[in-house]
This record gives sequence, C-alpha cells and structure tokens, in this order.
Amino acid sequence: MNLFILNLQTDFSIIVGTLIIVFSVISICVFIAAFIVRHKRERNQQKEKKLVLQFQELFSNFLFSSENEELLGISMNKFKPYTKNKFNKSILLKTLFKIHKDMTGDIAEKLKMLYIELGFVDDSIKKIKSSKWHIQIIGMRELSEMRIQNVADDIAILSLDKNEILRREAQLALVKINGFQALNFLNNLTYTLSEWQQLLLLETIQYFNEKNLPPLEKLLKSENDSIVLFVLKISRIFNLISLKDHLIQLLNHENETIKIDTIGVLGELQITDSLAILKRNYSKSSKVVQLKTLELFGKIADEQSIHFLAKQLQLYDYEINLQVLRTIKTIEGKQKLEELKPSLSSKQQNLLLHVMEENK
Amino acid sequence: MLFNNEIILNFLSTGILIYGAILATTYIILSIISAIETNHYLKKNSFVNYTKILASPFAPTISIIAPAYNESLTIIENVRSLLSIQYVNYEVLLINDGSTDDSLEKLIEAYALTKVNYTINQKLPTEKIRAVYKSAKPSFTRLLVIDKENGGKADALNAGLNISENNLVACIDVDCILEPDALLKMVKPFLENEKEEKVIAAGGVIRVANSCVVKDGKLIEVKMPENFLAKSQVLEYMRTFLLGRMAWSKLNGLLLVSGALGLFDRKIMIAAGGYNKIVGEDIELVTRIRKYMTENEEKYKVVYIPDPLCWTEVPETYKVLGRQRNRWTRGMIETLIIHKNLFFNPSYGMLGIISYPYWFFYEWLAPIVEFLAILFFVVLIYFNRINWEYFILLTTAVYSFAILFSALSILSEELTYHQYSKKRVLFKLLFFVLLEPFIFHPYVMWSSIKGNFNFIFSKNKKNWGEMTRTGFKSEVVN
Repeated sequence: MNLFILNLQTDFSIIVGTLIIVFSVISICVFIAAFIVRHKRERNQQKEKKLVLQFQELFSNFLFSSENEELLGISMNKFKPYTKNKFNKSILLKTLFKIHKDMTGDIAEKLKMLYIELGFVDDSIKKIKSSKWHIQIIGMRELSEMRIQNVADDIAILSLDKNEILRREAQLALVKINGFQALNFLNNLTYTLSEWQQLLLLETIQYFNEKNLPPLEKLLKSENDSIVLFVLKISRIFNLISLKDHLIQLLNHENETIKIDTIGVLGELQITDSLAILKRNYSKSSKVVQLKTLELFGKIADEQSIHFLAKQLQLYDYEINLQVLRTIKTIEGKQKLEELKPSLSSKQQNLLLHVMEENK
Repeated sequence: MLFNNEIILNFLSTGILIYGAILATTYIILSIISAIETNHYLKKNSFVNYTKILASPFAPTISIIAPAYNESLTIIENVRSLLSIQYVNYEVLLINDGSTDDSLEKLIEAYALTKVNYTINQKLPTEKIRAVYKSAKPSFTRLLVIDKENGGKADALNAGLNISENNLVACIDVDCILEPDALLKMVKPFLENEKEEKVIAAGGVIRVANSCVVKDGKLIEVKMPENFLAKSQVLEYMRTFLLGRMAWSKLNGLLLVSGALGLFDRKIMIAAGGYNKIVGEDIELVTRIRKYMTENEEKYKVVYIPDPLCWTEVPETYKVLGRQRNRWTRGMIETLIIHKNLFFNPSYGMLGIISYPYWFFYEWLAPIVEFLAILFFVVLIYFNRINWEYFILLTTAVYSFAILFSALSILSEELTYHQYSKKRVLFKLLFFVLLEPFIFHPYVMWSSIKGNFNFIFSKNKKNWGEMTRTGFKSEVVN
C-alpha cells in the first residue's frame, strides 16, 4: 500500500514538474513570438512608408504624363520592378486602390489600365479561386472596384456560396460590375437580406442612372419581407412615385415593419392619395403604426387633417399626444398649438410646452 | 484533531487541486475559442467600410445615455468626447444624478445650457427629474442634460431610457473616452443579422486610459500607465477582454456587457424592467434581458466586439481599487441570488447550463476557494503537515500557468490591435507579468473576499462607489 502511494506521489511530482516545464517553455516561446511579431511589424511599417513615398512620385508621373502611348508605356514600366517582390507588390496594389477609390473618369481608367498591365487581374482571379474565403473576398473586391466585366460569371457562382459573408460580398461585387441588372438575385432570394447588406447595396446603386432601374413592382410583392423592405428603400432613394399604387397596397401588408416603412416612404414621396386610407385604417392599427401615421401627417397632411389630429387628443396617451402635437406644430406652427392650449388637460399642456420648445 | 485526519486532509487538498485544474482547463478552452473567433472577426471586418453607415440616411438613430455623479473634474471633456463621435444619427443624454459638486454649473457654462419644458414618459420608475437643459448653441443640439435627484447609476440609466425615443441606446460611463468609430462598430451586429436571432445587446472592449494623452475629448496618444496598479490592470483587462469575452460571445453565453459601454435594444430593456437598482446593474441587466427573451421564446444574441472602443481611467490607489472590486463582487452576488432559478436550469439553454454555473463556480467561488486554500495552507504549517516539495511544485505550476496566460494575452494584443507602440512596452509588460501574481492578484482576491463579507453584513449595498479621478493629460476646452 505504502509503495503504491509512494509511486503515485512520484508520478504526481513528475506530472506537475512536466507541467511547469511545459508552461514555462510555452511562455518563453510566446514572449519571443510577441517580440518577433512586433519587430516584423515595425520593420514592415518602415518599409511601407518608404515605398509609399516612392509610389506617390511614380503615380503622379504616370497619371499626369502625356497621353502618348510610348511615354505612357515608359511610365508604366517603372512600376514593373516592384511587382517582382511579394511585399512591394502588395503595397503597390494597396496604393493603387487607395488612389483609385477617390478617382473617376479618365484618371480612374488610366489606373485600371495600369492594374491590368501589371498583371494584377490574374492575381485577383487567382484570389477568387482560393480555398480561403477572406482571400476570395479580397479578389472580388479588387475585380469589382476595377469593374472587370469578364469575371462576373465566376463571382456569380460565389453569390450562391454557403458562406454568408462570401455570398454577401459576391452580391455586392456583381452589382458593382453589372449595375442594376445584378439585382436579379433578389428574385430568387430565400433568406433574409440583412439591413447591413441593404445599406451596402444602396450605397453602391445610389450613383447608378435610375433610367436603367429594373421593374420593381414584382419585388414589392415578394414573399421575402426583407426584399420588400429593400425595395421600399430603393423607392425612397430614387423617388419612385410611379410605384404609388403598389406602395399604397402595402399599407395592408401583414408585416408591421413593412407597413411602417411604407408610411415613411409615402411621406418622403409626398403621396397624398394615401391620406384617406391611413385615416380609415388608423383606429384598427397598432400603436407603432399609429405613431408613424401621425408623423406622416406632418409631411403630407393639409389643414383639413387638423380636425382628425385634434380628435386624437381626446384621450391622454403620452406618445400619441406628443406626436399629434408635433405634427400640428409642423403643419400649422406654434400659433395653432397656442390656440389648442385651453382645450387640453394639464398633462397635455405640459406636453404642449415640451413640443413648443423642441427643435423637431 | 481535524487536521490530523488523513481522509479530511486528502479530501480538502484533492478538492482544491481538482478545482484549480478544472479552472485552468476552462481558461485554456475559452482562450482557444476566443483566438479562433477573434481571427474570424478580424478577417470578416478587414473589408468593412464603416463610413458607409455614416453616410446612410437609413442608419438607425442611437441615444447615448451617460450618467454622471460628481464628475466635475472631467465632465466637460467627457461630454466633448461624446459630441465628437463619428455617427450620423445620435443624441447624447447626460444624466446628472444629483451631483453634489459643481458638475451641472460647469456644464451649463461650457455648453450654454438653458432650462426647457420637458415632459417625460415615466415607463420605468426613477427619482424625481429636477430639470432638463438644452444648449442654445447650434453646435451642441445633440446634447440634452437631465438633472435629477440622486438615485444611483441604475436609476440614472433608467431615467435616460424613459427619455430616449430611439430603438437603440448606448449606455456608457461618462468618464470613458470613446473611440470615434465606436458606435459604427457597435451598431453593425444589430444590422447584419440574417438569421432569426435578434441582437439585443453588444459590448465592446474597455482599455485603460491612465497616462494616455487626451485632447478635446479625443484620445491622441496611447501610453502605458506609469502607475503600478494601473499597469497591472492593463494586463488584467487584456486577459479578460481578449481571451475571455470573445469566446462567450461565440457560445452566445455572454452575461456581462460592461457598464462602461454597451449598446442595447431599448424596447427589450424596458419590457424586461430596465436597470435594477443594485451595484452590479450591468451584469444583472444582461442576465435579465436574456431571461426575458428565453421566457418569451424569442431567439436572441448578445454580441461582443473585440475592437478597442472605449478607454477608461482605472484606480491607481489600493483604496479605490479595493472599493471597486468590492462593489463588483457585491453586484455579482446579488445577480446570482436574484437569478438563482437559472442554476443548471435546462429551460434557459446556454444561459442556465453554462453561463450561470460558470459565473457561480468560477467568477464568484474562485477567490473564495483561493482564500480558503491559503488559510488551509497556514493551518497546515501550524500543524506541521505541509509537504514542502508538493507545495513548491504546485505553487510553481500555478505561477507558470498565470505567466503563460498573461503572455498569451500579450501575444494576442500584438497580433491584433497592438495599441502600445512604444518600443520598451513589451519589456515593461514582461516585468509586470512576473510581478503581478504576487502583488496585484492577492489584493484583488482580498477585495473580493471583503466584498462577500460586506454583502452579508453591510446595510449600504447601493451606492455609486465613488472613484477619485486624476483627470487625463489634456487641454482645456473653451
């Protein structure tokens, strides 16, 4: 028995001793790694600084050089030595995109030409065929930024990928390359189009010529609510009054968020035809929809609606009353509020003073 | 007699040993998950152009609720920092919670505030609102100052929730210096959700601002604190934020969104009853809103953002540090007691099975077990029952593990955000890694024990836990 305990104790000492050695050795390695990482980063930062200075000069010569093909070729050739080293090449590409981002017209075209001439297109295509999703995204970003048309099919495949991040980036890249036409993917979209993705898509398409906008009526009837919400945002950005009837129909949609956003769009587009329906639906609507309706009145209602609004002050409800008073102030100004004051309860009078002094 | 009984001695020593081993293993597992998740986050967000939200008219409006109590020394600069955040649609609700210093007077003067008529929708009960102030200057239209009777931090936050009309609220400590893009980064998870899970809260990394250079409310230069305790807290914060919370976020088991900075869904906060007026209102709130969502059978997520978003001044004296840790401990115990029905309760999923027991066994019990182990050790010395060879071996093992864990957090920092750029910082940190387990850690453990003691015996469980501020290295705001 004693012998067993002694063995056990010896084993335990060996295990703990081994753990100490393992922990200590790993700690030392981790510290050394931290020092190496820092040293490498600092060295690369210095190298990058120097390179960027050199590139700035090269880019300025290239962009403002003569249109003469021979001279342009000479300017372009000056970049080529930098494409042989991986680090230099990455900084060159980074600088090129940094400049391209802020440029349009001929200068942007010239930069695209340089991108193609230096063989970066092939690199970007290799990237979209990588097995690592974040490398694929970098490739797609580069190709779409430079509007390289012939890669659209490859990117389209990625827009169906299981990886949500990759899929989203592919959709964005396609829209950048093919414009409104690429929004076709919305027709078959079964999952939710996140608000974030909607913002990114809107940011891209807002600069497109609205004449090329595809018909959106069908999408407003989509069973995917996120698509309806996205199209509502498009309607707002491009002021699509032509969708008026379809928008009014959405006031009866089952999804409350769609109803609320539709009311917002109707207000932005100043569609006064919706007033009668909204008044009719008001009493059976939820409180959030009622609040949004009252807010809309501030944008499109006329003096005749004041009676409807004043009726909503018959009962005290903080949120409803506050919105009603704000709307009346927007339509008729502070004077009307003063007129209403005697007919209000003391609580409502406090709300009125609140509204009178706010900047909304 | 008791300590001469072999069975009892073996039971106690083996128990402590097993507890320590499980704790260390848990830390290792959490670190691995954190590393994987941080790597994924960095890759995913390396392409993100946050300014796109900034430019979008569809960006959600956010109310920043900043409660303040006797913050006169830094209040002007703090508000300036909040007003210079990069975001389109936001308002700042500064709640002066009955400060007894000249905070309000300073604010009135610096921001040309005037009293306005304001009616508040009292959805959550709070102490009386004395007055609401707005600035007469157009450049400060985002600012609303609410002066109220003192009711504690939770009460002040609830007042802000009553006043806000927006769906998203950022609850922050007013003394924090926010990174200009903090809101942009925090709002993203609320917008990018494609699945049915609703994001109800997002927390960010808190960094130590002591010795940093701040100008006009903005962080100009990150510096390693000169003070020993502050330096130790740099290491501690690195470990907590870089190696722990990212893992909990991945597991959707995050229980704590730091009171220093958190973005929340206001409707859910109000529906769940707002902040509870206890000292640990931040952890209690997250626990409650998670419970609320589970009970209402709604899928949800609490997310964590590993980017440095917020810089805060940490205690530089043992007295203030002790008070802070004491308060944190009391807050945690109260939360654990309030939500005791979560304990291994499978109906609450991850919250009941993993998160709550983790907090119970490791966050609350760990310092107690450690303290008891030390007592046990002293008693064994007294009875001359110590096996010194084992003792030295085990202590060295614990010490080397502590060093390894700190080293990993330093490497993680170097590989990710590398905020401390000065060349000698790594050497300094290395020195502190070796020293910290002997000085800082025992003191924090002792404060936690005192917190337990005070929780049981003290009547005054609710207070702001005043912190003496030294102010940042800064320039005066005109």
